[in-house]
Amino acid sequence: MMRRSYFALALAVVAACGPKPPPEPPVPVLPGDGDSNVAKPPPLPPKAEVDDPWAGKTDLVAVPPAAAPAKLDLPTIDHWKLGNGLDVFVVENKRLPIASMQLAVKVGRYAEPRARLGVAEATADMLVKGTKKHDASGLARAIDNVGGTISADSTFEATLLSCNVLARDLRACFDLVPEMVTQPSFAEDELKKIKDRMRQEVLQRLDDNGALASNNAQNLLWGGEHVRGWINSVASVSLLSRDDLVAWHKAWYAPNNALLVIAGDVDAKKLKPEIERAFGSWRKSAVPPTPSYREGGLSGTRIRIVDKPGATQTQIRIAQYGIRHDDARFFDALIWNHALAARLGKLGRAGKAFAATSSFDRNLDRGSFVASAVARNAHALVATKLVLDEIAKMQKEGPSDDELHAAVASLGGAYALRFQSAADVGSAIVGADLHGFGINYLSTYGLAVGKVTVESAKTAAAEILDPKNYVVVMVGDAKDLEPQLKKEGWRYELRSFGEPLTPTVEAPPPTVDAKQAAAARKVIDDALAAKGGKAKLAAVKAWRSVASGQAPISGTMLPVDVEKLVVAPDKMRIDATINVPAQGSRPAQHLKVVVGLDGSSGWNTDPTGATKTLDAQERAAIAFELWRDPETVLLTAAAPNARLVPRADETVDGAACSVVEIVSPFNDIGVQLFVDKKTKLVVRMSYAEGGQREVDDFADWKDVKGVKVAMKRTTSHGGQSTTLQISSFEIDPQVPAKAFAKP
Amino acid sequence: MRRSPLLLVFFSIGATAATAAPSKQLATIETVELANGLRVAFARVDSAPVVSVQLWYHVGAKDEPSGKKGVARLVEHSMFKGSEHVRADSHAQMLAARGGYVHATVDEDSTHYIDTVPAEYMDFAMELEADRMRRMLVRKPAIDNERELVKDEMRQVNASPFLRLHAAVFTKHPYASGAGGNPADVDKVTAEDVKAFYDAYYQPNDALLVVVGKTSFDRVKAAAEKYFGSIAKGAQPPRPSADARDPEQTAKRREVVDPAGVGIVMIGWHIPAAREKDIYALQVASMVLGVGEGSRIKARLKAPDGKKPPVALDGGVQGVVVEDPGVMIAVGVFREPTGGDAVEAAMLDEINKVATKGIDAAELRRAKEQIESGFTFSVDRAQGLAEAVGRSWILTGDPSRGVRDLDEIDKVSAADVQRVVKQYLSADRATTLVVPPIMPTKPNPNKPAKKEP
Repeated sequence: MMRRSYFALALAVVAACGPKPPPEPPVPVLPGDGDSNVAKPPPLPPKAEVDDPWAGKTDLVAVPPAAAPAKLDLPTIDHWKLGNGLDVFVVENKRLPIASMQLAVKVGRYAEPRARLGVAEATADMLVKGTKKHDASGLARAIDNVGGTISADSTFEATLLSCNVLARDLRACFDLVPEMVTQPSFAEDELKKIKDRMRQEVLQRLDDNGALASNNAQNLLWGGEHVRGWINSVASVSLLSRDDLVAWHKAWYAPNNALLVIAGDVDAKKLKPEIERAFGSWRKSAVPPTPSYREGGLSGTRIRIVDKPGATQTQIRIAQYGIRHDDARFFDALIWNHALAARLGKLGRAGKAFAATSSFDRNLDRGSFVASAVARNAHALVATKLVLDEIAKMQKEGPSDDELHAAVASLGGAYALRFQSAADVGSAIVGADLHGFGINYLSTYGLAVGKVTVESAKTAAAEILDPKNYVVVMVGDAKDLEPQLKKEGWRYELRSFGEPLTPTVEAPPPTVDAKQAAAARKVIDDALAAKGGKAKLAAVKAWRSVASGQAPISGTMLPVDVEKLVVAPDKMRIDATINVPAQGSRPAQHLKVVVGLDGSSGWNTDPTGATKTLDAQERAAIAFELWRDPETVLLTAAAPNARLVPRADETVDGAACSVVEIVSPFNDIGVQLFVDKKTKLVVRMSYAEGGQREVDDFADWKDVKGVKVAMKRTTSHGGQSTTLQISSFEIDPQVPAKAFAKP
Repeated sequence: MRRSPLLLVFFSIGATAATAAPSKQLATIETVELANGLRVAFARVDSAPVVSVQLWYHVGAKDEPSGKKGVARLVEHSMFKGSEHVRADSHAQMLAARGGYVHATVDEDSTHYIDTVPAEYMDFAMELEADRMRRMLVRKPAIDNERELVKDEMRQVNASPFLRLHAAVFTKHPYASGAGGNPADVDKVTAEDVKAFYDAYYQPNDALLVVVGKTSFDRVKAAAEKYFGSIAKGAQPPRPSADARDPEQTAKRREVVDPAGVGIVMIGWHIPAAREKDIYALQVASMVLGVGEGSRIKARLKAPDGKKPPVALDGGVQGVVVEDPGVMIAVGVFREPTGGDAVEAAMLDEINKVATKGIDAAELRRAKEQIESGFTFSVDRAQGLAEAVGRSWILTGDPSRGVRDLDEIDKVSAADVQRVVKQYLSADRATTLVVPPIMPTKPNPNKPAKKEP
C-alpha cells in the first residue's frame, strides 16, 4: 500500500506489534477479472516413468479417423425485435419440461472507468439483491417457490441475468427478470456485503499465484492506460458507492443495448405477447459510446518478477497482443494455437519438470495471446526459454499437416458438446450476437475450422506471433529467480506480490489542451521562483529537519520528536521518538523507530532495536515520500517531462489557490499542489489512494539560505492529524558516513 | 439429496394434483444384459450429436478392506495409467483428440468412468473402456506416482466437516469413513492390493454400461457385444458392508470437537437405504425443512424479516441417500462462541413442529416443485442423464427407477412428510456434533474432543 506517509510508515512499525485481523475466507475468482480468459497450466507432472510395457506392441488401440467437419443442426430459433430495440431470440427444444431465460446487457468490464473498477460486477451482483418490490430475501423466496434459480454475472463484455424454471413456471421469470433489470433497489446494506465479498476476492488472489501471474501479465502488457491492464484492488472496491451503481445502471441498462433469449419447452408464437407485456415498457435510451483505449505498444521484451517469498513453484506467463474475434485469421489462429498448446503439453510430459499451455482471448477487441507455464523455481528460466523457443518455432514454421488435422478433429468435435441443452444454445446465441455474428456462425463453426490449411495457419502464426516483442511475468520466490535472470543477462523489474497493480483514482483525469498545460506550467514556475528559484534549489544536495509535535498513536495523541535527513536524490533517514507519558505505575516510555532508504535498499528498526529489511512495497512507499518531498517537488514538477494536469481553483484557510496536479511515476498517483495566488508558495499538497485522501498543510515560512521553508506542517489522513513544528532546518549539513546504511 | 437418483434434486418440486396426474418420467431407458452379466442401459437424446458412454462399477469406498482405505481411488487412478492395448494416459488423450473428455469419480458406493464424445466415436469410447475392464496393467511405478495425488484428493474430501458427523453417526458401517479414504493407509496399499481389489470388483457382472445420446439402442447393443461380449464373467464380488449394519440408535449422542474458524452445529439421524419407499417422503421433508430461503430451518435461523435477531448465519438440511441406510443432516452455521446451543435448540424445535403439527399445502407444493426442477435440469445434458441412470442402478439395482422418481415424489402427501419426520428425525435418536467458533481472544486450546452423554 502506497498510502502511508513516511511518518505513518514509521508508526506502523509500532502498530505492527498489535493483533492482526483473521485471514479472510477463500472465495472463488470472478470472470472478467483478468484471469478468466487465460488458460491455466495443468499441475506439474509426476516424474517420468522409465518402464514401457507397450514397447514394440503392434496391436494397440488406435484413434479412429476423424469425421469430416460438418454443419451443426440447431433447433428452431425465432428472432425478432421489440419496439424498444430489445432483440429477442426463442429456441424451441421440447425434450424436457424446462425453460431458461437469459437477458444479456451489452456492457461489462470493458467499459468501466479506471476510477470505478468493479462497477459492472457490483451492479450485476446487486440485481439479485433486491428491487423496489422485493428485498433480497423476497426475491429468493419468489424463485424458490417455483423451484427455480436466478443468477446474475458480469464478464468482460456483457452482463447476464439468467432465470431457470420448469416450463410451466416461466411466468415467474417474466415477473422477476424485468423487475430486476429495470427496478433494482441497490440497497446499501446489500452493497456492503457485495463489496466485502469483492475485497475478499482481491485478497484471495494474493494467495493464488496463477491468478497473480495472469493479472500481472495483463497489467504489464496493456499498461496503465488500457482497461485490460487495470486490476481491482481493495482500495478500488472500497471506492464504489451506490451512486456509482445507479449511474452505471442508468447509462448502460437499456433495451436497445440488450438481448433476450428464451430456450426450452416453449412456443415462440405463444410467447410473443408475454414478452411484449414483460419487456415492452422498458424504455429505450441513448447508450454511451463504447470506450476505446490506447494501446501502449510493445517494443522489445519486458520482464517482471513478482516476489512471492516461500513459493516453491513459479507461475510463468508470456503475453503479447492477440487478435479480434472477427479477425479473418481467427480460425487459423485457433489451429496454430491448438498445435502450440499440444507442443507445450508434450514438453511437460517429457519430464521437463514443468507444465505449459497457451490460449488467446475471444473478444470484440484484440485481447491477448498468453502462454502459461508452471515450473519448480530452479527450472523457471529453463521453462521460460523452452516456451519462448516453441513460440518462435511456431511463428517461423507454423503447424505441421498432422497438427492441423489433429486440431481440426479436436476443435470441431468438441464444438458439438457445447450445444447439448436448450440453455447451451441460448448462451451460444448471446455470444454470437454480442460479437456481431449471425446464427449461421454457430452452425458452420466446424466447417470454418475445417477450411483452415497449413499455409493459412502458418501465415497467421507468422503475422500474429511476435518472437521479439512480448512480456514475461514470473511469480515465485525472487531469491530463487533473480540469480537465474541475472546470470542470463535478462533485465527485469521486481514487484512485491501484495503491491496493488492499478493505482486508484477518484475521477478520470480530464483531457488537457495546450493552453491549459501552459497555464499549469506557469503556476509551477511561479511557485518555484517563490520557493527560491530553480538554480538555488537544484544546488541543494542535502537537508535535515528536527521537529516536535503531536501524532495519533493507537487512538491517542502523543508527543513525538522527528528528525529527518535527506540526501538527493535517493537517500532518506527518519528517526522518530514516540513519548508515552507515565501512567499509574507504568513509567514514561520513549519508543524509537528508525527508517532508512539507501537507493534501492531500505530498512527499519523497531522500538525493541530489531532491524529488518524493507520489502518492495515498503521501499516504494518511502520512495514515494521522497519523490513528493516539499523541498524538491517543485523541481520535479518543472521538469519538461512532468505530467501536469490543471485543476479547479480552491481556497485554503481563506487564501485563493491555483491547483496543479502532477502525476507521479508511482502507480500514476496524482499529487495536487495548492499554490497561494498571492504568495505563490505551496501551502497544501494532497493525494488520494485507496479512497482516502492525505493532505499536508504548510505554514510558518522561514528563509533558510535563500530557500523558503515551511516550519509548521500538518498532515491529515482518515480524520486524524499529525502536527509538527520544525525547530531546526539545515541545508547541506554534515552527513555521517553511515547514516543510511542498515545498522 | 446428495447422490440419490433424485439427489441433485435437492432442489426440486412437484405438483399437488393427486388424481390421474400425467407421468413425469423424464426419459425412456432401454436395458439389456449380456451373457457375461454386464448390464447395458440406453436412453436416446438427440439434442446434439453427442453421446456419453459411462461405466458404473458397483464398488466404492465402503467396499475397501480395513487398513486399506484408499485402494479404490488408487485403482481409479491406475485405470488411466494403461491397459493391455492402451498406453498410459492415452485413454484421455485419444478421446480429447476427437473432441471428447473423460472424468472418473469414487464415492461411497460406486466408481464410475465418464466418456462424453461426439456421437460418431461411441464405439471408440467403448473399445477403450472394454480394454481396461479386465486388462488394466498394474504397474508399481505408476501406482507410486499416483500415491501423492490420491492423498491430496483425500485431504480435500476429508476436510468436510460432514465427515466428522458421519464418524459419529455410524458406529459399525464403513460409511463412518466417508468416501475420502485414509491418507495413512494409502502408503500401505501395495501393487498386489490394487490388483486384488481390481480383480474382485472390475468384472462385467459388477458393472453397468450406460450410453445416452444421439445413437440407437441397436447400435449400442451391437457395440457392447462387440467390445465387452468376450470378457468372461467374474466371481460374485465380496460385500463387507453387508455384515456391518449399524444397530438402531436408541439414545441421543453429542460431541463437541475442536473449534474452527466458524461455528457449526450438525445434527444427524439414520435414514433408510435409497431403495426404501420412505426415502421419497424424507426427500420432501428435507426440502420443507432446509432448502430454500422460505424453508423452516433456514427462515428460523436467519430471521430475514427482522422481527427477531438471527440465530445463525445460515442453515439447511441435507440428506445423504446411499445404497445402505444413510443419514439426514441438519446444519447451522454461527459465529457467536455461545451460539451453538441456541442453534441446536432452534433446529430441533422446527423439526418437532413438523413432527407434531405437520406442514401446509404450500410447503408441500414448493418442496415438490424444487425436487422436480432440480432433477429435470440435472438431466438436461446427455452426461447428466447417464449419471442419473448409473446412480439409480448403484443405489437401487434398477437403472430405470431414477427417471420415474418424480412420479413417486408426486404421491407424497403432507401426512407422509409428518410421519417420516416423526419416525426418523426425533431428538432422542439424534447425533449432534458441535464445532465451536474460534474465539479471537482465546486461541484454539487444542483440547481433545469431549464426549457428552
